[in-house]
Amino acid sequence: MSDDTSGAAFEAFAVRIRALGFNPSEASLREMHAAMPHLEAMRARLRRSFAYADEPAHVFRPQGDDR
Amino acid sequence: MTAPLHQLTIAEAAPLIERKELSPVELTDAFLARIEAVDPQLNAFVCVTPERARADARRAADEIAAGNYRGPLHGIPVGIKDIYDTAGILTTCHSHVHADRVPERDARSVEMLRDAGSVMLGKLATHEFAFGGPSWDLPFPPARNPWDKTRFTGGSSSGSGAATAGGLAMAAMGSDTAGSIRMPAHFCGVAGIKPTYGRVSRRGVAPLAFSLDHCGPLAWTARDCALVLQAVAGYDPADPGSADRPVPDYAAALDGDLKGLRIGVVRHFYDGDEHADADVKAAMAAALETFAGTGATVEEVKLSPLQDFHACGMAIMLSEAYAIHEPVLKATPEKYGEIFRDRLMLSGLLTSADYVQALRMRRQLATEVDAMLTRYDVLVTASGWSPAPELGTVPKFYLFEKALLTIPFDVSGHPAMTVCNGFSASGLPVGMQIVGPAFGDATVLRVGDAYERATEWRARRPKI
Repeated sequence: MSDDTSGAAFEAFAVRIRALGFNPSEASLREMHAAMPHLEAMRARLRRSFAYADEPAHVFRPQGDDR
Repeated sequence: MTAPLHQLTIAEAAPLIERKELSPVELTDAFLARIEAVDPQLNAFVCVTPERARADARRAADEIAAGNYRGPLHGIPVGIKDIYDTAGILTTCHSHVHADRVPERDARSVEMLRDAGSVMLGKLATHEFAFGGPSWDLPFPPARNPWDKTRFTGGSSSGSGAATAGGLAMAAMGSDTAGSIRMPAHFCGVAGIKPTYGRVSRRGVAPLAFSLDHCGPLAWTARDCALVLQAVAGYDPADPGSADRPVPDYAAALDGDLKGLRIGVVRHFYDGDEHADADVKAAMAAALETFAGTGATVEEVKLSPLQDFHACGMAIMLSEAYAIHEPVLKATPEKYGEIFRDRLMLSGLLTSADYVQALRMRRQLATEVDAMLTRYDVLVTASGWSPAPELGTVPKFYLFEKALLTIPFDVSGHPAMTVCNGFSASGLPVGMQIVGPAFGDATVLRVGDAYERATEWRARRPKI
């Protein structure tokens, strides 16, 4: 990867972080950018081929009166 | 009595207190003196409460003298992680965000410890909001490891690990979202149990990730963990995740007998998917031989890759933590430490779809662990990759860089405890996880206790 491409990737990353409403220091941005491949690796391992009706593992029980 | 008071276990001290051979006041004074002498080296406490401790101890002594002994925690000095609300006592979550916060009410488990007659010594160091650390830009320094003060305690129940290992508290409450009870237990050479999800109330405990947060104790032994868990386990209608299930007698389960127990070894987590260092692998190999020697059957088992559990758990934890802190982080980012801030900002790049897919994946993974625990009474695996690293070398994004051996059982919600299973050549402890079926916390404690009795690791103490 050339320096130009790296620079472009870093700028694109910085835009994404700023779009969230944050304005971190250049040093923090660089460290977060360096960690981004780890986050992407985790995202890549998330399973996504579920049937429509496959429920998340949350539980919601309405707190009504059982009587 | 030959051991100094600060090295007594709860199981040793409680009968002495019950028989009035040991005063809670004397015991508490010994711990307060120990804290004063040693804590400046360990930073385990962010707030010591000597007046409260002495008042608790005096009350316990008076009640016992009047014939009103409450049980094995009566008069026992304990510490509380500083994400637990304590009425009238500073509760900072180790953050400038809550630098002046004094709750009006105790967390439910703190109430229960008080009702059991325990003595509160003070509040213990954590990572910022149980997430950002080890950090040096917070209101308090990070805790240090009693086995080697230059080393990491693990996090986020860092003060809980340091205090119980260093003899500064007989037990401590911690919390575990990705391993925050079991990693300090591993690095500090103590026992710590993450109970089944819903077993211990989270009411009044600052959340890191609602669906993954577990409250539980650390102590020198598995037996002491059982005694503390007995006091804090139970249904709490004020906690939406609380389980309305009966609480068994945990101490009664500690019979030391593992004959016929079926143990599944998840070796591929620490020797396949990723690779633990030689100290951890050697300790695990020796522990499996110990188990076989007790008459248990030991077989290797296979679950999904560790990295699948890690991806699932991290996506859930980071998403929920981001949702909790986003408004304050945007409004006053300077109030957070750099590590917390940078980890959480990066977490903002996860999507809503990532979160929901992780929750769907969680159901699959939990079902898989459930199924394995119908074939085996417990699963065992390593707790950490190595002995404690140097405190200053822990990377800012270590949670992202390498899968955590502890996170699978936060994802699945199964009870999991870490017990010390050996030491490196340089004298640093390592730990082993024992995992049981949902609400099989008693089985986990039984195995941990039996293992500790079958080995000599509990006889070693840090030289501090």
